[in-house]
Amino acid sequence: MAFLAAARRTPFGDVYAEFSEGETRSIDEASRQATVLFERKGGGPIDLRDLTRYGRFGVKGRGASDWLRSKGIAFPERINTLAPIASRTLDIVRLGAEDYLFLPQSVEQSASLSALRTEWEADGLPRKGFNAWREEVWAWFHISGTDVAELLAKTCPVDLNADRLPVRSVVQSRVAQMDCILARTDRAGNHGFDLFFDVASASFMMRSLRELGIG
Amino acid sequence: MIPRLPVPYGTRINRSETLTFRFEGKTFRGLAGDSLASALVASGQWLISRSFKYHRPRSVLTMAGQDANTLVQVAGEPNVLADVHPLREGLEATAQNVNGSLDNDRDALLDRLGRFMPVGFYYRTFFGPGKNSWLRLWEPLIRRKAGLGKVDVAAPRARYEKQNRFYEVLVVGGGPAGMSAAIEAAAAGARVLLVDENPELGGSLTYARFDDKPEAIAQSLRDLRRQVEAHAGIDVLTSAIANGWYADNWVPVISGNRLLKVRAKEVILCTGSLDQPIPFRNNDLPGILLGSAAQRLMRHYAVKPGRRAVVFAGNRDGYRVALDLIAAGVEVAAVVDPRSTQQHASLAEDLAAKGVRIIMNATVVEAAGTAGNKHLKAARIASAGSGTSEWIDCDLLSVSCAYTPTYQLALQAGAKLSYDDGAAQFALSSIPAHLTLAGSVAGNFSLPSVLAAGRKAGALAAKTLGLPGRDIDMPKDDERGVSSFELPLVGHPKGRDFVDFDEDLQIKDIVDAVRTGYSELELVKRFSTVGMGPSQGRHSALATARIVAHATERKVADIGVTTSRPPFGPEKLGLLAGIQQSRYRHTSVHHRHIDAGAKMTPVGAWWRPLYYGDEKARDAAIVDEVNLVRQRVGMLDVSTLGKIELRGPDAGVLLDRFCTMNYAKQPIGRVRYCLTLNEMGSVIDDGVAFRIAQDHYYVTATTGGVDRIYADMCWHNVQWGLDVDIHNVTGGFAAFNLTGPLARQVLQATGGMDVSSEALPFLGGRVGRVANCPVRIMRIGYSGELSFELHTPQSYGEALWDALIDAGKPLGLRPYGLEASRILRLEKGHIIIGQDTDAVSTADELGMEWALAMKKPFFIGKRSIELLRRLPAKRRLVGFELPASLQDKPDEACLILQGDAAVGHVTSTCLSPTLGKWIGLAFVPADLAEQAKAVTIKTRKGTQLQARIVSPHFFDPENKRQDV
Amino acid sequence: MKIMNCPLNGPRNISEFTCFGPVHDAFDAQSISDSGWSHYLFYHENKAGIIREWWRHTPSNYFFIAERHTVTDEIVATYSPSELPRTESKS
Repeated sequence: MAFLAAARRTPFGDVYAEFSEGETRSIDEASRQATVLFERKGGGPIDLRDLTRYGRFGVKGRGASDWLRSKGIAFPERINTLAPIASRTLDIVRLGAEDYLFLPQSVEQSASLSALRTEWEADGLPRKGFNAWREEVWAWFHISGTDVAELLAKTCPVDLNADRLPVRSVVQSRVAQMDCILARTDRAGNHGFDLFFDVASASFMMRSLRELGIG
Repeated sequence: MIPRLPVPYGTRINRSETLTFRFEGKTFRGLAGDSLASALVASGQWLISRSFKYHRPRSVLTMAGQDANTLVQVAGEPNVLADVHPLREGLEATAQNVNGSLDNDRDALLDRLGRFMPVGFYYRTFFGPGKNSWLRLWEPLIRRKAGLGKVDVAAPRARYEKQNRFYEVLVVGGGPAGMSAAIEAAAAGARVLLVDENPELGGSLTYARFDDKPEAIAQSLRDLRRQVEAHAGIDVLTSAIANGWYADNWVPVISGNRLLKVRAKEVILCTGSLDQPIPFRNNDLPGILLGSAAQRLMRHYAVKPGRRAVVFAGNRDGYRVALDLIAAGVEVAAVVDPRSTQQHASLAEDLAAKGVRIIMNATVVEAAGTAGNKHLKAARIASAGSGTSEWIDCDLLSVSCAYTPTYQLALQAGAKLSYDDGAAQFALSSIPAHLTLAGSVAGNFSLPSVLAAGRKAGALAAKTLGLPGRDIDMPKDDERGVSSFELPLVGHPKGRDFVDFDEDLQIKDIVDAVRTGYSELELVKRFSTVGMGPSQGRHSALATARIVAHATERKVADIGVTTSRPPFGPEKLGLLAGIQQSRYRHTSVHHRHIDAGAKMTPVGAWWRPLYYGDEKARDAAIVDEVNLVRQRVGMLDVSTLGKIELRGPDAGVLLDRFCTMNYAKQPIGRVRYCLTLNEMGSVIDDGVAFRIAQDHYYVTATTGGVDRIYADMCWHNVQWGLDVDIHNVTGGFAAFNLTGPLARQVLQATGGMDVSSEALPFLGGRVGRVANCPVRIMRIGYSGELSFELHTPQSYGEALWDALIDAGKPLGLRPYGLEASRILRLEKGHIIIGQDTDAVSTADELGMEWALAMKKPFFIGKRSIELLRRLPAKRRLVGFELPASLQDKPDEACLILQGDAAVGHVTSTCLSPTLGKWIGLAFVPADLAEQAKAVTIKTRKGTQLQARIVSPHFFDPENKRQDV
Repeated sequence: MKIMNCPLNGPRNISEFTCFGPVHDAFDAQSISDSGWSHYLFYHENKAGIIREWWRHTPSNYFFIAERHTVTDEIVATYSPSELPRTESKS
């Protein structure tokens, strides 16, 4: 019998956007979640989107790189970089020698992600890496704005300035006193970072960034 | 209001904006741009504070925020430096450390009792007369007499922030050297931060006199500022203090309510130097100030510092100050030069032409004050040659004699301090890499050499960064060697010749400290407290070093200064605290607990339900929850448990080495206990391993232990090189423990999986779906009842929880909390790592020998267990019981007594709702650890209870209830 | 705040790292003598000079080797553990 998927919910109570079922949501609709943090003289607003309910997929462990090669997917030579997979409208983030994260280039394009995932799951290769549970272990925020580096500098000890950290750079560091991966995607059209961090701390991260953003 | 000097004096003030403020209850008027002290002095209010020990009248000394003379209380904020605190409309300030009023301080008589308070008398006096007299008598008294302001505990909470900043070059000090350095480095392409504590850039160019005409200097200043402003590569922070140097060029910069954590590849220190006072009798009277302070008052604030001045000129700047005073309309009664020959002929000619009397080879030996010593009245000048002296009437005595480089940050960075006998001042050497000094801190004094040194430092920093820095030639410095003079430090027979103004220390106090036997500087400091006040020795270090050198017949270079540590200046605790954010973690059903009325409790960063229900009925609620599990069915959110995925062909090998039981041989679909030891054989964590597939184990660890277990596993695996992937999925999975005799019925009601005892026996595990949620189910539980632990990806957590609660409602299912869980597990004698164990608990002591697979070739801790087993056992963890009807009760950490001796302690205890008696676990000596023996427990109230040792498996010892 | 250069993530504040203690020469825990074992557990060389240590970059869970001078606290070099002579397992 076919299972009806139970409703998957994010820490903020939103229903997950399932890849396989009907309509997916556009980034504009994602803006429903946008939270304007602060307006600054001479600078634009900062906004923060919770993208936790959108598709992402990670593969890690021995065989992960081999599997990508077997699929003809070019992955970044350098760890801590993001590269587009043009043929699939996906981005691939290399987090370690054998640790990859796939993101939709735009969250409405999750069908491509879903396809990739299905391919991986169905593949009979003895070594193809392991499911890294990235859609469960991590919450996914996007924070952006002309002053985003200045805001994040209040909590992240790495220089995130636009001219020093180019688009597609990835930083594994700390934000709000917890481990956090920052990927510069400029996803919302201006200087912005995808943040990946402990899903159980999503509420704390939201509160923390808002509080830092007030001043 | 006394009229101010005309423009161009008063570069900081706005003459068209008058501000009204109050000091000591009196109303004053100042101008926008004034500091509190400049406005007071401009109004004729010189008296600003009373000294720490003798309550002597004090006034401005440096006008640069570098001394403690101007500390005042502004509203709720103590210890505000009035000489740099910006004046605001309506500001309310009061003096500190006065008994009565500033004008009429009843404690001023302490000044006359000074001879009864010699140096170090604190240590000799305040230990008597009786026991605790320090705490009862002296400390409260001294706090009243020598306090530094009052903290307003009701002060409103202010927002303080921290921020990281990253630059290629940080220039500390925005004077001529700093501006030049910044311009040069930026011109080469570096990103530069230029920091200065003053409200404007310019440093000495904004107040001092140079050989060039003032108009030319003003033009140079404008040019430098324009270049700094014009360069996009330079960020400027004024009114900001670089307050220390930490490893790898990490410099905290205080800018208002922000602490900027600046990281720079190169740091250039252009921190300048500090004008030094000279000791003579009554050298602390209001009206006696440093030459640079007189200049600052005039140029910055248009305040004429006096009517008739005596100028002490031990260096060229003294002559320049005299010229400045004359230009501002102050009568200069005399210039007193301690040197025997005239070294500044042209300046001297200038002064002579203006009719100023220059007294060579002379010094100030004493000052006299008006009534109550509230202001300078006259100075006595003694001529060294003739041995004669004379009193000269004056209301201003400006002192220019010597400089010390502002060496604090350089020393913190590892530079060495030496003493240049020729130049009569301290000099910095052994400057560490990625740090450069320029300007007077580096011994450059003439303006052309200061500017060139700045440029050279900027170029050098650029070159080190790989940028095209220019080659800069240094001109000859014709002021080196004439900027400081070694005035003989001879104490006045009647004293009051202060070396340290903060601590009221005189020459004889330092000499006495040496005589008492404290000949090393660090000891002199601790005995006399010299340099320990708010100004941290900025004006006392040089004099102290010279006095100690003289008294011990050593060189000044060998004495040096005491170790310089951050912070450079005071910093508010709010800045260090920043925005306080404590991390919290919520499980996927946190909101369900809140909705169900849970009392939540923090467990590390996690929040967990302690019990459900009203706080007033707490105990009854907990007993209800225990009974629910024993009689029907309850559910505990165990999502906080650590969870680790072990995947790969060597997963079993890794687990065999890391934990104590057999895992490589564990059948697929089985769950096995995991005990983890450290290399000493001590128990550090526990959990279970569910073998999902040949090469896949799902391992749990304790909530508090998982981070360490995960890190240790990964670390060992890097060394072992096994083919296994270790992944911490703690937050990624929700987990619920469904437990009680009716637990299976609940799962049957939700449907989806066969959970019969055949399909899923005790210690079995299965992967499947429950209520359409993907689950990993394990037949394990803490409670001793029929238990199913269901793990599901956290996004399904709420759906699974809701489905189970709905399905279980007809059976009476309710969630239960941590308190009930702790009782349930204690009734079964299950230990909690960290509560029933300590840093040296072994499995043998805990009665868990069964968990040690000693036949395995290796596991962490095995070697130590083998050794420990050859030694006699010291202690055992045992169960104990007591009747319910007691006058008193046992508690965790209560002592186990043997006679009068404490031989053990209680680790866990509760009044068991199921068994109707007190039960507990305790460490007791091995020879007492026999069942039915009696032990004595000393309660918190001191009562001695006789407990009986029993098996720790208090309830259902044969485990009949869980294996069904 | 000291900087440590992570071979994987580059220079970072030392607060992003955890020290896992000195690198020991490989030995077999089960065949070492009793005194050898207790020496390993309880006596540390505490050498003044350059020592090799295990470090972990916490956010990326990356383990590497650092050579550090115990007197000056200078971090002389950091590199991947694969550059160590192979450490034999203690089994």
